Amino acid sequence: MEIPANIPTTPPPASKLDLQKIKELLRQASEKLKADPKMKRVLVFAGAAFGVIFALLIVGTIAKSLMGVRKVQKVSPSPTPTATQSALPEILNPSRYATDSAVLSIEDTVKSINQDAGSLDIREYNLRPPTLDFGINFTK
Amino acid sequence: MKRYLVILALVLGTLAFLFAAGKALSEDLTFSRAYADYVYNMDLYNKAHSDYQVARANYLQYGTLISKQNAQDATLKMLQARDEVIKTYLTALRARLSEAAGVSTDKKNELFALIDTEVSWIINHEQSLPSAGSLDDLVKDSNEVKDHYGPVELLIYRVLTTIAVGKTTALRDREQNVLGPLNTKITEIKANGDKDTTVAERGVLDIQAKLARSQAKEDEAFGIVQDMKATASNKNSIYDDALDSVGQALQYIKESGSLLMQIITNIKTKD
Repeated sequence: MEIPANIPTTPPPASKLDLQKIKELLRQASEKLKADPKMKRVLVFAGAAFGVIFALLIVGTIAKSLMGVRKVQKVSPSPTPTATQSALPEILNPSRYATDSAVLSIEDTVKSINQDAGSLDIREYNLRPPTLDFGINFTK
Repeated sequence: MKRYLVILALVLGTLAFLFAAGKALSEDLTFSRAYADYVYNMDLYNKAHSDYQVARANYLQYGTLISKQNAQDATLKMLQARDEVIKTYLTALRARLSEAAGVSTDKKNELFALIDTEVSWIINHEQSLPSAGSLDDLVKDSNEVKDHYGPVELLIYRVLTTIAVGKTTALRDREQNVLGPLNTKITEIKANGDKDTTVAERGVLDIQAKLARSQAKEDEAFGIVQDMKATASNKNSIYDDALDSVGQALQYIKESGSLLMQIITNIKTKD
């Protein structure tokens, strides 16, 4: 396959110039830094601080993942689920409303209400008023 | 260099403070936290009460100046711990009420105001305790709380009943909300004429009657607590009677829930 004659084979001169400019700027900055020890120390300190934060983040992430693994490994024994019988018998001869979305939606809501009603605890024994001694006296 | 370090430290410090303050503000006083605080203070009270009993017995037996001073110190600590228990209990109760379902905001605010007044009273009392100069003064201070605690107990049982009734009210509201769409569906089926809706319609009327009875039982519970006297020594058993009424209200709600399921089954079944 031949290369068409209009495609340039060398990179455009502008990109070469840009690279040279960047190199020059970096060189100047490094020379300035070498000349100013104050600035150099600040940069070293900032670098060290970032290093410490980065290291802490890594340690934290590892610790968190290890703790997560431990949590997963804890398997508490649970009883074998027993089959429960539905309170209402299965519908053998369904009407045209058996699959009606509005009816099914009402059914879901009612099931949820009945479930909540079954597990409702109205007696909060832990919140009964405290038993306190009010009969303070110093008579025999 | 020092200047940069100071600036860096200030920036980090400010960030840490803002983070901590934001976190503290975002954390409301939840019931579980308030309840844990109450349980902890109850433990402290039990310990202080036990120390008070020992100090009191020693003073009554020996009557020395040292035993008197010990009795005074122990009584002061016990009374402070007792006030702290009342304060933290009321705070936990307030937090529980705040989380309660089925209680209107107006009702909550009304009860919050009453609880807050009692908490302020007990804080003032607790702060005044160290100024007592003798055992007699401490006994008087103790009797102040004793006299005040009767009305506080009335408030406590009123709040507890409100929380219990709120639970059944929330459930009843949910059932009542279902009745609207259910009635619409029954009317639609009746208009279609392809299914007898007599059973469903009768069922809806039964449900409405049961829900009305449920509400009447809740009102009965409030009435029982309302009639409670501050001087009554059996407040706990009166409260149990009120809870029995709430239990009956719940039973009606369960029965109407069961009726709702029967209506749905009827609608889903061919005649």
